[in-house]
Amino acid sequence: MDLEFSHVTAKKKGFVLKDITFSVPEGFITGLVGENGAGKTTLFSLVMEEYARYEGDILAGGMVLAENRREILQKIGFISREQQFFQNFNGMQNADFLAGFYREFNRDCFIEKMKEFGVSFGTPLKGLSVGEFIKFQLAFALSHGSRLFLLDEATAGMDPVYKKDFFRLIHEMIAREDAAILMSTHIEEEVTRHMDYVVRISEGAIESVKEAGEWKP
Amino acid sequence: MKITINQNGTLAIYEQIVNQLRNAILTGELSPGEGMPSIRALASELEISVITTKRAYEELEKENLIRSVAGKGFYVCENNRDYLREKNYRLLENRMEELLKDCKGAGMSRKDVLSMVVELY
Repeated sequence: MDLEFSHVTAKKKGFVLKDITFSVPEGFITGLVGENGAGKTTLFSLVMEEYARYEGDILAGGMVLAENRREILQKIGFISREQQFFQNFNGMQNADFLAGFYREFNRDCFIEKMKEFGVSFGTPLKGLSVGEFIKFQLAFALSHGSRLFLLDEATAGMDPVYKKDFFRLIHEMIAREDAAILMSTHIEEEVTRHMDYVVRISEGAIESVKEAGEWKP
Repeated sequence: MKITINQNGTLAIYEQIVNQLRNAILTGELSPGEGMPSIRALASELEISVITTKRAYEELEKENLIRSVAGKGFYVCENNRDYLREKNYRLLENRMEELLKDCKGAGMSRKDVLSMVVELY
Protein backbone atom coordinates (compact mmCIF):
# COMPACT_ATOMS: atom_id res chain seq x y z
CA MET A 1 0.00 0.00 0.00
CA ASP A 2 1.57 3.26 -1.09
CA LEU A 3 1.48 6.52 0.83
CA GLU A 4 1.25 10.00 -0.57
CA PHE A 5 1.65 13.39 1.04
CA SER A 6 0.19 16.20 -0.99
CA HIS A 7 0.87 19.79 0.11
CA VAL A 8 0.63 18.86 3.77
CA THR A 9 1.06 21.71 6.23
CA ALA A 10 0.76 21.26 9.97
CA LYS A 11 1.68 22.74 13.31
CA LYS A 12 2.18 20.55 16.31
CA LYS A 13 3.82 21.22 19.68
CA GLY A 14 6.20 23.76 18.26
CA PHE A 15 7.05 21.66 15.19
CA VAL A 16 5.96 22.97 11.84
CA LEU A 17 5.62 21.10 8.56
CA LYS A 18 5.39 23.20 5.44
CA ASP A 19 3.90 22.10 2.14
CA ILE A 20 5.14 18.50 2.28
CA THR A 21 4.69 16.62 -0.99
CA PHE A 22 6.21 13.23 -1.73
CA SER A 23 5.16 9.64 -2.19
CA VAL A 24 6.24 6.30 -0.79
CA PRO A 25 5.85 3.72 -3.58
CA GLU A 26 5.19 0.00 -3.17
CA GLY A 27 8.11 -2.34 -3.63
CA PHE A 28 10.72 0.16 -2.52
CA ILE A 29 12.31 1.50 0.65
CA THR A 30 12.03 5.24 1.08
CA GLY A 31 14.31 6.87 3.61
CA LEU A 32 13.46 9.97 5.60
CA VAL A 33 16.46 11.97 6.77
CA GLY A 34 17.05 15.30 8.42
CA GLU A 35 18.41 16.90 11.57
CA ASN A 36 16.82 16.29 14.95
CA GLY A 37 13.78 18.50 15.14
CA ALA A 38 13.40 18.73 11.36
CA GLY A 39 9.92 17.21 11.65
CA LYS A 40 10.38 13.49 10.87
CA THR A 41 8.51 12.20 13.89
CA THR A 42 5.80 14.83 13.44
CA LEU A 43 5.31 13.56 9.89
CA PHE A 44 4.71 10.02 11.18
CA SER A 45 2.34 11.31 13.83
CA LEU A 46 0.15 12.95 11.19
CA VAL A 47 -0.50 9.51 9.77
CA MET A 48 -0.84 7.67 13.06
CA GLU A 49 -2.72 10.04 15.34
CA GLU A 50 -6.46 10.00 15.18
CA TYR A 51 -6.97 13.71 15.73
CA ALA A 52 -3.96 14.98 13.85
CA ARG A 53 -4.75 18.30 12.21
CA TYR A 54 -3.22 19.35 8.96
CA GLU A 55 -3.96 21.06 5.70
CA GLY A 56 -3.47 19.23 2.42
CA ASP A 57 -4.03 15.53 1.76
CA ILE A 58 -2.56 12.29 2.93
CA LEU A 59 -3.52 9.29 0.81
CA ALA A 60 -2.83 5.63 1.46
CA GLY A 61 -3.54 3.03 -1.19
CA GLY A 62 -5.29 5.79 -3.13
CA MET A 63 -7.75 6.49 -0.29
CA VAL A 64 -7.96 9.74 1.64
CA LEU A 65 -6.59 8.95 5.07
CA ALA A 66 -8.84 11.32 7.00
CA GLU A 67 -11.97 9.66 5.62
CA ASN A 68 -10.82 6.05 5.72
CA ARG A 69 -8.70 5.93 8.86
CA ARG A 70 -10.01 2.70 10.34
CA GLU A 71 -9.70 0.80 7.12
CA ILE A 72 -6.24 2.14 6.34
CA LEU A 73 -4.82 1.60 9.82
CA GLN A 74 -5.58 -2.10 9.49
CA LYS A 75 -2.75 -2.26 6.99
CA ILE A 76 -0.23 0.04 8.58
CA GLY A 77 2.59 -1.26 10.72
CA PHE A 78 4.05 1.61 12.74
CA ILE A 79 7.32 0.78 14.44
CA SER A 80 9.12 3.07 16.83
CA ARG A 81 11.14 2.85 19.99
CA GLU A 82 8.74 5.36 21.56
CA GLN A 83 5.73 3.27 20.67
CA GLN A 84 3.43 2.67 23.63
CA PHE A 85 2.56 -0.90 24.52
CA PHE A 86 1.72 -2.58 27.79
CA GLN A 87 5.31 -2.56 29.00
CA ASN A 88 4.73 -4.78 32.03
CA PHE A 89 3.27 -7.56 29.91
CA ASN A 90 5.09 -9.88 27.56
CA GLY A 91 4.90 -9.93 23.76
CA MET A 92 2.30 -12.65 23.53
CA GLN A 93 -0.01 -10.89 26.02
CA ASN A 94 0.38 -7.61 24.16
CA ALA A 95 -0.42 -9.26 20.85
CA ASP A 96 -3.52 -10.86 22.35
CA PHE A 97 -4.70 -7.52 23.77
CA LEU A 98 -4.20 -5.72 20.49
CA ALA A 99 -5.42 -8.52 18.23
CA GLY A 100 -9.01 -7.30 18.70
CA PHE A 101 -8.26 -4.17 16.71
CA TYR A 102 -6.98 -6.00 13.67
CA ARG A 103 -9.30 -8.00 11.47
CA GLU A 104 -6.54 -9.98 9.84
CA PHE A 105 -4.48 -10.70 12.93
CA ASN A 106 -3.06 -14.19 12.69
CA ARG A 107 -1.84 -15.58 16.00
CA ASP A 108 0.07 -18.49 14.47
CA CYS A 109 1.89 -16.09 12.18
CA PHE A 110 2.83 -13.92 15.17
CA ILE A 111 4.19 -16.92 17.08
CA GLU A 112 6.11 -18.07 14.05
CA LYS A 113 7.67 -14.63 13.47
CA MET A 114 8.61 -14.21 17.13
CA LYS A 115 10.35 -17.59 16.97
CA GLU A 116 12.02 -16.73 13.69
CA PHE A 117 13.27 -13.42 15.06
CA GLY A 118 14.36 -15.05 18.31
CA VAL A 119 12.36 -12.75 20.58
CA SER A 120 11.47 -14.10 24.01
CA PHE A 121 7.74 -14.71 24.57
CA GLY A 122 7.87 -14.67 28.33
CA THR A 123 9.78 -11.44 29.04
CA PRO A 124 7.79 -8.30 29.80
CA LEU A 125 8.36 -5.76 27.01
CA LYS A 126 10.26 -3.44 29.32
CA GLY A 127 12.84 -6.21 29.77
CA LEU A 128 13.59 -6.58 26.04
CA SER A 129 16.62 -5.02 24.38
CA VAL A 130 16.03 -2.23 21.85
CA GLY A 131 16.53 -4.67 18.97
CA GLU A 132 14.13 -7.23 20.46
CA PHE A 133 11.49 -4.60 21.11
CA ILE A 134 11.64 -3.46 17.47
CA LYS A 135 11.49 -7.07 16.30
CA PHE A 136 8.45 -7.74 18.49
CA GLN A 137 6.75 -4.80 16.78
CA LEU A 138 7.75 -6.09 13.35
CA ALA A 139 6.38 -9.53 14.20
CA PHE A 140 3.10 -7.96 15.25
CA ALA A 141 2.93 -5.70 12.18
CA LEU A 142 3.62 -8.63 9.87
CA SER A 143 1.00 -10.81 11.51
CA HIS A 144 -1.87 -8.37 11.01
CA GLY A 145 -1.23 -8.13 7.28
CA SER A 146 0.47 -4.71 7.16
CA ARG A 147 1.25 -3.42 3.69
CA LEU A 148 2.64 -0.05 4.69
CA PHE A 149 5.46 0.04 7.21
CA LEU A 150 6.37 3.27 8.94
CA LEU A 151 9.60 2.97 10.86
CA ASP A 152 10.65 5.86 13.04
CA GLU A 153 14.34 5.56 13.92
CA ALA A 154 13.89 1.82 14.24
CA THR A 155 17.59 1.09 13.80
CA ALA A 156 18.93 3.66 16.27
CA GLY A 157 20.79 1.95 19.06
CA MET A 158 20.43 -1.47 17.50
CA ASP A 159 23.47 -3.72 17.70
CA PRO A 160 25.06 -4.83 14.41
CA VAL A 161 23.80 -8.42 14.59
CA TYR A 162 20.21 -7.31 15.08
CA LYS A 163 20.57 -4.70 12.42
CA LYS A 164 21.75 -7.19 9.84
CA ASP A 165 18.72 -9.37 10.56
CA PHE A 166 16.47 -6.36 10.50
CA PHE A 167 17.54 -5.30 7.01
CA ARG A 168 17.28 -8.84 5.71
CA LEU A 169 13.63 -8.76 6.79
CA ILE A 170 12.99 -5.33 5.35
CA HIS A 171 14.30 -6.41 1.96
CA GLU A 172 12.17 -9.54 2.07
CA MET A 173 9.11 -7.46 2.89
CA ILE A 174 9.35 -5.36 -0.27
CA ALA A 175 10.45 -8.17 -2.58
CA ARG A 176 6.77 -9.01 -3.13
CA GLU A 177 6.09 -5.49 -4.43
CA ASP A 178 2.83 -4.99 -2.55
CA ALA A 179 4.34 -3.37 0.52
CA ALA A 180 5.81 0.10 0.93
CA ILE A 181 8.31 1.19 3.57
CA LEU A 182 9.07 4.66 4.88
CA MET A 183 11.84 4.73 7.44
CA SER A 184 13.63 7.56 9.15
CA THR A 185 17.29 7.18 10.03
CA HIS A 186 20.42 9.08 10.92
CA ILE A 187 22.78 6.51 9.57
CA GLU A 188 24.30 7.34 6.20
CA GLU A 189 25.41 3.81 5.40
CA GLU A 190 21.83 2.55 5.74
CA VAL A 191 20.68 5.05 3.17
CA THR A 192 23.32 4.35 0.55
CA ARG A 193 23.11 0.61 0.82
CA HIS A 194 19.55 -0.24 1.63
CA MET A 195 17.28 2.51 0.42
CA ASP A 196 15.84 3.28 -2.97
CA TYR A 197 14.62 6.81 -2.45
CA VAL A 198 15.54 9.39 0.11
CA VAL A 199 13.54 12.37 1.27
CA ARG A 200 15.43 15.02 3.19
CA ILE A 201 13.52 17.43 5.37
CA SER A 202 14.95 20.50 6.97
CA GLU A 203 13.16 22.85 9.32
CA GLY A 204 9.83 21.31 8.46
CA ALA A 205 10.14 21.59 4.68
CA ILE A 206 11.28 19.18 2.00
CA GLU A 207 14.81 19.94 0.94
CA SER A 208 15.18 17.17 -1.64
CA VAL A 209 13.71 13.91 -2.93
CA LYS A 210 16.27 11.71 -4.67
CA GLU A 211 17.21 8.21 -5.67
CA ALA A 212 19.44 7.01 -2.86
CA GLY A 213 22.30 6.36 -5.30
CA GLU A 214 22.50 10.06 -6.09
CA TRP A 215 22.18 11.13 -2.50
CA LYS A 216 25.08 12.70 -0.66
CA PRO A 217 24.77 13.40 3.06
CA MET B 1 27.55 -17.73 -7.91
CA LYS B 2 28.28 -15.63 -4.88
CA ILE B 3 28.46 -11.85 -4.97
CA THR B 4 30.06 -10.08 -2.06
CA ILE B 5 29.48 -6.46 -1.24
CA ASN B 6 32.22 -4.55 0.49
CA GLN B 7 30.54 -1.70 2.28
CA ASN B 8 33.81 0.09 2.98
CA GLY B 9 35.29 -0.32 -0.49
CA THR B 10 36.05 2.61 -2.76
CA LEU B 11 33.82 1.23 -5.52
CA ALA B 12 30.13 2.04 -5.50
CA ILE B 13 27.90 -0.93 -4.73
CA TYR B 14 26.55 -1.11 -8.28
CA GLU B 15 30.10 -1.16 -9.67
CA GLN B 16 31.00 -4.02 -7.37
CA ILE B 17 28.06 -6.01 -8.71
CA VAL B 18 28.87 -5.13 -12.33
CA ASN B 19 32.50 -6.21 -11.92
CA GLN B 20 31.66 -9.50 -10.27
CA LEU B 21 28.91 -10.41 -12.73
CA ARG B 22 31.07 -9.37 -15.68
CA ASN B 23 33.86 -11.64 -14.49
CA ALA B 24 31.42 -14.49 -13.93
CA ILE B 25 30.18 -14.11 -17.50
CA LEU B 26 33.65 -13.79 -19.03
CA THR B 27 35.01 -16.79 -17.18
CA GLY B 28 31.96 -18.84 -18.10
CA GLU B 29 30.74 -19.27 -14.55
CA LEU B 30 27.50 -17.85 -15.89
CA SER B 31 26.98 -19.50 -19.25
CA PRO B 32 25.52 -17.94 -22.40
CA GLY B 33 21.73 -18.17 -22.46
CA GLU B 34 21.54 -18.70 -18.72
CA GLY B 35 18.81 -16.79 -16.88
CA MET B 36 19.89 -14.13 -14.41
CA PRO B 37 18.20 -13.78 -11.04
CA SER B 38 15.45 -11.16 -11.12
CA ILE B 39 16.40 -7.67 -9.98
CA ARG B 40 14.17 -7.98 -6.91
CA ALA B 41 15.44 -11.41 -5.97
CA LEU B 42 19.06 -10.28 -6.23
CA ALA B 43 18.42 -7.06 -4.31
CA SER B 44 16.72 -9.01 -1.55
CA GLU B 45 19.47 -11.61 -1.44
CA LEU B 46 22.26 -9.04 -1.28
CA GLU B 47 20.20 -6.82 1.04
CA ILE B 48 20.72 -3.79 -1.12
CA SER B 49 18.41 -1.32 -2.79
CA VAL B 50 16.36 -2.37 -5.81
CA ILE B 51 17.43 0.72 -7.71
CA THR B 52 21.13 -0.05 -7.22
CA THR B 53 20.60 -3.56 -8.54
CA LYS B 54 18.63 -2.25 -11.49
CA ARG B 55 21.44 0.15 -12.29
CA ALA B 56 23.97 -2.69 -12.29
CA TYR B 57 21.83 -4.72 -14.72
CA GLU B 58 21.41 -1.71 -16.99
CA GLU B 59 25.17 -1.29 -17.07
CA LEU B 60 25.70 -4.96 -18.00
CA GLU B 61 23.02 -4.61 -20.65
CA LYS B 62 24.84 -1.61 -22.08
CA GLU B 63 27.99 -3.69 -22.27
CA ASN B 64 26.03 -6.36 -24.18
CA LEU B 65 26.77 -8.95 -21.53
CA ILE B 66 23.14 -9.56 -20.64
CA ARG B 67 19.90 -8.81 -22.43
CA SER B 68 16.38 -8.37 -21.17
CA VAL B 69 13.50 -10.35 -22.56
CA ALA B 70 10.22 -8.54 -22.03
CA GLY B 71 8.12 -10.23 -19.38
CA LYS B 72 10.74 -12.88 -18.66
CA GLY B 73 13.81 -11.22 -17.21
CA PHE B 74 17.49 -11.05 -18.01
CA TYR B 75 19.66 -13.59 -19.80
CA VAL B 76 23.38 -13.89 -20.39
CA CYS B 77 24.11 -12.93 -24.01
CA GLU B 78 25.37 -15.55 -26.43
CA ASN B 79 28.27 -13.36 -27.45
CA ASN B 80 31.63 -14.40 -28.69
CA ARG B 81 33.30 -14.93 -25.38
CA ASP B 82 36.84 -14.70 -26.78
CA TYR B 83 36.06 -11.27 -28.11
CA LEU B 84 34.68 -10.14 -24.76
CA ARG B 85 37.61 -11.58 -22.88
CA GLU B 86 39.97 -9.80 -25.22
CA LYS B 87 38.08 -6.57 -24.57
CA ASN B 88 38.27 -7.10 -20.85
CA TYR B 89 42.02 -7.74 -21.04
CA ARG B 90 42.48 -4.51 -22.92
CA LEU B 91 40.53 -2.70 -20.24
CA LEU B 92 42.77 -4.20 -17.57
CA GLU B 93 45.85 -3.35 -19.61
CA ASN B 94 44.82 0.29 -19.63
CA ARG B 95 44.33 0.27 -15.90
CA MET B 96 47.68 -1.42 -15.45
CA GLU B 97 49.36 1.29 -17.53
CA GLU B 98 47.85 3.98 -15.34
CA LEU B 99 48.90 2.15 -12.24
CA LEU B 100 52.45 1.73 -13.50
CA LYS B 101 52.62 5.43 -14.21
CA ASP B 102 51.64 6.08 -10.60
CA CYS B 103 54.25 3.56 -9.40
CA LYS B 104 56.96 5.29 -11.42
CA GLY B 105 55.78 8.61 -10.07
CA ALA B 106 56.17 7.27 -6.57
CA GLY B 107 59.78 6.40 -7.37
CA MET B 108 59.39 2.63 -7.66
CA SER B 109 61.80 0.69 -9.85
CA ARG B 110 60.84 -2.14 -12.18
CA LYS B 111 62.15 -4.55 -9.59
CA ASP B 112 60.11 -2.91 -6.81
CA VAL B 113 56.94 -3.19 -8.86
CA LEU B 114 57.57 -6.80 -9.79
CA SER B 115 58.26 -7.82 -6.23
CA MET B 116 55.09 -6.06 -5.14
CA VAL B 117 53.13 -7.96 -7.78
CA VAL B 118 54.64 -11.28 -6.72
CA GLU B 119 53.85 -10.47 -3.11
CA LEU B 120 50.23 -9.54 -3.77
CA TYR B 121 49.20 -12.00 -6.48
